[in-house]
Amino acid sequence: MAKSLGIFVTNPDNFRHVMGITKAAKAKGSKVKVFFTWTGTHCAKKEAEFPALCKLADDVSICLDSYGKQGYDRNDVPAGLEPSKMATQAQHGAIIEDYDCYISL
Amino acid sequence: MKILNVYRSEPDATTKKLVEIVTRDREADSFKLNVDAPDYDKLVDKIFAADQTICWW
Repeated sequence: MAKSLGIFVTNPDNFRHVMGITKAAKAKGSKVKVFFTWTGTHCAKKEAEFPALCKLADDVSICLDSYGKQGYDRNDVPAGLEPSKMATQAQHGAIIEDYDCYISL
Repeated sequence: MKILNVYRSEPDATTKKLVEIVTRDREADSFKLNVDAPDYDKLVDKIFAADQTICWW
């Protein structure tokens, strides 16, 4: 059984790495959760492949507070994301607690 | 304890020193993300093989 992987994203310039790592991990049978926070939340609105990431990964969520602080309407849910996935830093904690491996990008 | 150091940019003297400190007396591996086409498959294998992964900016 492949290890599970959590990806913590704070930087908007890392999206291609997020996609690449997620694809590689899923190909190995890994469970993947991605959490976007601070300026990383720009990826949810500016990356065309964000909806594809939401389908590919087992769980994708973003920090609602960071999203609002980056200038977005907190009610404007990014394409591909469930409204319930507009969440808090507890999602980051869930990665640390529940996933075997962790990478910060 | 095996540590994987992932480089987002070419490590400068400070980063090299910090890596030296955190990997002292530990097994260490590295991966460069600051290339045009990183081998993500290889990176994931390294992440799974490590006890801890550190991303350096």
